[in-house]
Amino acid sequence: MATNPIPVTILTGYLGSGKTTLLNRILTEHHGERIAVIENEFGEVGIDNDLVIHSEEELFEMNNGCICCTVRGDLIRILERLIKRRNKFDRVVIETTGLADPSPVAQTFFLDEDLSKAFVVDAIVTLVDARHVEQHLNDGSPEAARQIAFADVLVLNKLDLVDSVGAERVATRLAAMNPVAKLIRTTRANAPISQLLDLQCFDVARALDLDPLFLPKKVEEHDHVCDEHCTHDHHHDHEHKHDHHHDHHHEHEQDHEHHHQPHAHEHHHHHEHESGVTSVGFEIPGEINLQRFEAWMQVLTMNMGEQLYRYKGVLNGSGTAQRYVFQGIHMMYEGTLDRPWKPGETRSNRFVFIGKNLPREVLTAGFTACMEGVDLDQLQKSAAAKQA
Amino acid sequence: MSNRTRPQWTHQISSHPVGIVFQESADLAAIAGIEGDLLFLHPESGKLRKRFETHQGGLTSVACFPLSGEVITGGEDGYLRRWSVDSESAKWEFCFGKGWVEALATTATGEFAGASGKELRVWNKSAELEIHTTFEHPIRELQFIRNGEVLVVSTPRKTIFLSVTEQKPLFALPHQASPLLTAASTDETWLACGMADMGVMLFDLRTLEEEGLGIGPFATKPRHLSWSPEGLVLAVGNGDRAVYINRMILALLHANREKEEQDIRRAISYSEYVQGKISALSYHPTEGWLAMGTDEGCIQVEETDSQIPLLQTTVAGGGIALLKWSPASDRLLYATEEGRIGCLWVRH
Repeated sequence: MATNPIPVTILTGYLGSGKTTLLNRILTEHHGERIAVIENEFGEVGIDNDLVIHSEEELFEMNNGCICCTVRGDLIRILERLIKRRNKFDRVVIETTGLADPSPVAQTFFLDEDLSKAFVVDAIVTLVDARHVEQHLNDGSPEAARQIAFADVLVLNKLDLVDSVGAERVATRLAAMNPVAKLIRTTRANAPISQLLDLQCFDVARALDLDPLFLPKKVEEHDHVCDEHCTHDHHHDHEHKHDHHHDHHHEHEQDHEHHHQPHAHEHHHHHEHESGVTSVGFEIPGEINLQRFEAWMQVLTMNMGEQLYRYKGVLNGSGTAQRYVFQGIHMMYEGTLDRPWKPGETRSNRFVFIGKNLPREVLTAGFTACMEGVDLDQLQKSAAAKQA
Repeated sequence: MSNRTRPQWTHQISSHPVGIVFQESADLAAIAGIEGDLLFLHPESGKLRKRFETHQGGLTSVACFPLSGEVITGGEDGYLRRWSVDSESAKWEFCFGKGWVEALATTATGEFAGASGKELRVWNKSAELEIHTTFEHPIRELQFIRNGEVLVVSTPRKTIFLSVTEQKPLFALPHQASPLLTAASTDETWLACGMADMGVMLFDLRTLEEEGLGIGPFATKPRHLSWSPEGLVLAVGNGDRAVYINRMILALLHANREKEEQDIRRAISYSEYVQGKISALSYHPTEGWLAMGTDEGCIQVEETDSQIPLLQTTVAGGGIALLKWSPASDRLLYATEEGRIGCLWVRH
């Protein structure tokens, strides 16, 4: 008998960010759901719950050295035990250690056929300590940066410990690192449970429907490069530069007026921080050759899977009246035809990559080559000439 | 050859089965379910001897004393309890605390061990505590070898060999990947570890060298391991989704112990006529018969040398969760995901 997959929320965050406080709230609030908790952090706070399972984190790399192939052995074992107890709980929350990278946990559910049938990742929720996160990021903590980069929901916690200017500065920085995550501001991790559970962020169609204009609207700085696809009236190359200082003021060198509404020209967003975590966003008009796009993504995720943390997008595929939606985490790419475009809806291609040291030019060139009507020979020649 | 394709008898437990265990004389078998039910029955006739409700919250592990036929169970309530077919309630119990009692082991002479979280306890045959220790990582499996003198303690990071007589660790095998399941060969020469990196590691129990023999990796993780009685063949059951979706995959790995690592031969057979993916494996304790169960309720028994099928049948009650041969006969007990227990008679 087929049963619905069990939703899994991955709760992550740096040491002391408030994960256990939030977990205890989730467990004790009256939401009518029975929750199995898999913990791998011992001794912070005792949890009065019958179904709390302690696990040890198990990370390893296979010979090719790609983190995408990392699986968590003990987690698999525990989840398999839970499958047999399916009738005893409604959802699973996995609380990672403060120094853990959440991606191997999430990937476990995609890599294993049995687990991917039994469970579905609902969301990655990252707690962020508003007071200390800048220090962690400025110190170059890769864990803190990755936890932010992978998040579907960022809970900016301990706002009572910072002033409003500091809070805004942190929020801006988080939005620059991960423009697609929803930001919830809290003190004592008092986020509404409805904004943490049942989000279906890894349901590719639904995740994008929730926020169809998911490009980084909140961010004020970006790179912008126009090319032959631009239909607006300024046919010149122009570029914004931004510079992040430790006090996080931004400098812009703008040579044209720029609006952050969706518009019909190629549109990049590119943000890089001390941690190397980058977000690169595009909005490009025209039609995409989906076959070529999927082939490109296959190569891209194979070659750069380790760098690519999260990515998602909506494409205007040629020869179809439906949207093509995709999302992924490292090498775990998933794309599908979704609902038909609505009358009057702008049929453009919008997507965001979040990752470490992402090469914007490579991504731009790769994507451009997937456009219908692009002369690939010409493109290759110009790329070769550029390289020469 | 004659095949009996219908169960000789069936019973029902209320939940997913946790284990089937046998008294060595095969006069008594016990079947335990996740919800806590424990059935003692006569394997040949199927006559129910006793039914117990063992643990509040559920049962997590079960093991049997091979001579007496008594059973120990571990529960979600943190208790380890001992049961006899002749008693009306638990004969003995110990509470570890709040955590699940995940691993149990027994010896032929009556010693037993239980683990909850990182805590290990070993009792002697008079149920007096002999060893109480904690490990760095949670204990997932326990197994006595060398007539109960050594206890193999399996954790996600290491497999530790503990001397019961000397009450100290002898050796620890570090793991790069987590073992999902382990199985010592009947002659206690090899310890097979099915690893989360999709491979199987064979460790020589005679030398206890750190370097194991790697087999695989397979396309998916090993889920079931079973040694042939002479310890020469290890059956590995896994589901290979990349190429063989919905087919049964069985890798028979012939480990030739007389030669060195490079002489390990691999013979992989794909029994495509069995529907579904392997969900249980069990080698007959004396014959070269391998019983294979699938997630679609198929059971096939095959003589692995000749690959001649001895029995093929489909039973009711969902996928096959457990298979266990009676130690002294050609009866095969099975338990399905829905808690249906039955006995098949395989006569060669």
